[in-house]
Amino acid sequence: MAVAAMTTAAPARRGRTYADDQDRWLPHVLILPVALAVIAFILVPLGWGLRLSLTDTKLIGMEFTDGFSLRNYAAVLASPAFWQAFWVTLLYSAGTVAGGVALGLATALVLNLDFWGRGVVRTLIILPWAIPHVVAALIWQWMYNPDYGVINYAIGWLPFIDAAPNWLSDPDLALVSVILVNVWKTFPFAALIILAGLQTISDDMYEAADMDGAGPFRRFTDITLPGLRHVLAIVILLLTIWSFGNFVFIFLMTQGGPAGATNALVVKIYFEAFKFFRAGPAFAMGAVLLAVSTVLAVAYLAVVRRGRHD
Amino acid sequence: MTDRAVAAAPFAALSWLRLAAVALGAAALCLFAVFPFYWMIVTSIRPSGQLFSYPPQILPSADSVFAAYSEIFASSELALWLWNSVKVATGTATIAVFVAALTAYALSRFDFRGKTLTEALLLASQMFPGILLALPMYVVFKALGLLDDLAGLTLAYLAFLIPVATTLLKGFFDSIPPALEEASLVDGASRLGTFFRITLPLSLPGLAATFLFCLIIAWDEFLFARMFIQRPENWTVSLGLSSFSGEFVTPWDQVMAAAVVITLPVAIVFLFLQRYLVRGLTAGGVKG
Repeated sequence: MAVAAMTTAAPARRGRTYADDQDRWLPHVLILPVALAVIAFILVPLGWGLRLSLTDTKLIGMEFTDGFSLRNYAAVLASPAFWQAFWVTLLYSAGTVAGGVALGLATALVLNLDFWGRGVVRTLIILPWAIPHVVAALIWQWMYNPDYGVINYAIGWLPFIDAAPNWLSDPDLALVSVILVNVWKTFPFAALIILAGLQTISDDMYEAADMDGAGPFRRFTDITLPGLRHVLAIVILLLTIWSFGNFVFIFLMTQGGPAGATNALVVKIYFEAFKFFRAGPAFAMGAVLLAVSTVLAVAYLAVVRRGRHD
Repeated sequence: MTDRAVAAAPFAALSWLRLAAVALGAAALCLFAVFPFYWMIVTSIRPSGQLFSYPPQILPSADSVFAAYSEIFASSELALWLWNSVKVATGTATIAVFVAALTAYALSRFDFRGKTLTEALLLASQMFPGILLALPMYVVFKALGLLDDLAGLTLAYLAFLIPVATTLLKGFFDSIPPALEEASLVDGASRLGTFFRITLPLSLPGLAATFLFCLIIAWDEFLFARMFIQRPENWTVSLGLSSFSGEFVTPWDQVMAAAVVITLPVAIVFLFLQRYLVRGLTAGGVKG
C-alpha cells in the first residue's frame, strides 16, 4: 500500500529512476554532517551552559558540584550591577537600531535615485561593513582621542563650543560614543537590505499617487514606508540581535566603563568569568541572555517566514 | 518595469532645492562612511613627528612616508599574526564549505521530514551571541586540552561558520534550475553522481563566495580568539592588533599601518562579495 502510494506521488514528468529510490533515505544522510555539527557545537554547549548555571563551577576543570541550585540566579537577579548591564544592553541596542535604521533608510533612498556615480557612492558607503571590527575599534579610538583626535579638532571649528570632550571616559558620553561606532559599522548593511526592499515596490503605486496629487511626503508615508514594513522588521531584528551579542567595540574602547556606563551584558559576562572568576553567575547571566536571544531569534524566524508566504 | 523607472519614481518631482538637499545629504553620508577609513590610511603614512601636533592635518602631508609599515613589521609579530590568521581562516573556510555542501544540497532539492526544523535551527543558531557558545566551549576545550591551540580555535569557528555556510550554499543551489539535473537522473545516474558531475561544477561561484565569506568572518573574529588563545605566538590578527588598544603611549602611525595591512585583503574581497551576501544573510527574507 505504502509503496504504491509513493509511486503515484512520484513526479509525473519523468519515469521512475534510480534516483527516485534513493530520494527516500538520501536527504536524511546528507543532512547528517551539519545536523551533527549543530548538535555538538551549538545545542550541546548551550545546554551545557544552562547546566553549569545551576552549579558552582570555577571554569577550572570539568568538575562542578553535583545537584542543582538556583543560587546563581538568585544572586544575579538581586544584583543592581546585573540590571544596570541589562539596561545598558537595551540602550546600546535601541541606539544602534535607531541610528542604523535612520541612516540606512536615508542611504537607501539616495541609492534608489538614478544619478551619475551611483555605483561609486554605493561602494564607498559599504566600506564600514567591510572593515574588521578590531580595526574599526582602533580607528575610532584614535579619532576619539581627547587631545589629538580629529573629532575634537572638528568640534573646535563649531561656534560656541570650546570643550574638548573625553568621549570614551566621560560617563555621560561613553555609551553614545560606542553606539556611534556600532551605527557606523552596521548602517551600510541596513541600507542595502532596505534598498532591496525599495526596489520591490512597484512604480505603478507611485504613478497612481501622482495622479491623486500626493506630494513626496505623502508618497513616502503612504507607499514607501508600508512597502518596507517587512524589510524594516528584518533590519530592526537583525540589528537588535547583533547589538545584543556585540562584544568587540565595548571591550576594546571602554572595557565596560567608565563606572559601568557601557557595561553591556556580553562584556559583563566575560569579565565575570575571566577577571573575577565567578563562572556560576556568568553562566546564570548567560542563561538570561539566552532567553532574550531565543525570543529575538523566534521573532526573526517568524518574520522571515511571513515574508516567504506573502 | 525598468530599473530606471522604479529608481526615479519616488523623487520624480524633485525641485532644484530638494535636489541640492539630497546631494548634501548623500555627501554627508559618504563622508561619515568613508572618513574613518581615510583617516586610517592618512595616519599610517604620516611622519611620526607630526602625529601629535595640533591642529591635525586633514590632508596627507607632502612628506608622507611608509616608514610606519616597515617599523610595525620589525617591532611587532605582525607577520606571524598574519600567518596564524591565514591558517585558521583558510582551514575554517575549507572545512565549513565541505561539511555544508551536501547538507545544503539536500535542503535545496528534497522535501523530507524535519527539513523545516533543520532550516529553523540553522538560522536560529546564527542568532545567539557568541559568548553563549564560547563560555561552555571554553570549559570543554580546557578539559580536552584544546585551549591556546590554533586547531582548537579552528574547531570553535566551525561551530558558527557551518550554519552560515549551509544557509548561503542552499541559496546558491536554489538558484540552479533542477531541470539541469533531470537529464542525468533520467539516464540512471545516482543523485550523488549527479550532484558531483552537474550541480557542483555549476555552483563553483557560489562555493567560492561562501568560502570567502567564511574566510572574512574568521579573519575578523575576536571574542573566541581572545578567550581561547593565550601565547603571543598563537595570536591572530585581531588579537595582535587589539594588543595596541588602550596602551599608554600608542604609536598611532604604526598601529594604523598594521590596521591597513589587516584590512585591505579582506575589504577588497568583501566589496566583490557583498551583492551575494545581502541575499544570503536575509535567507529569503527579502522578496525579489
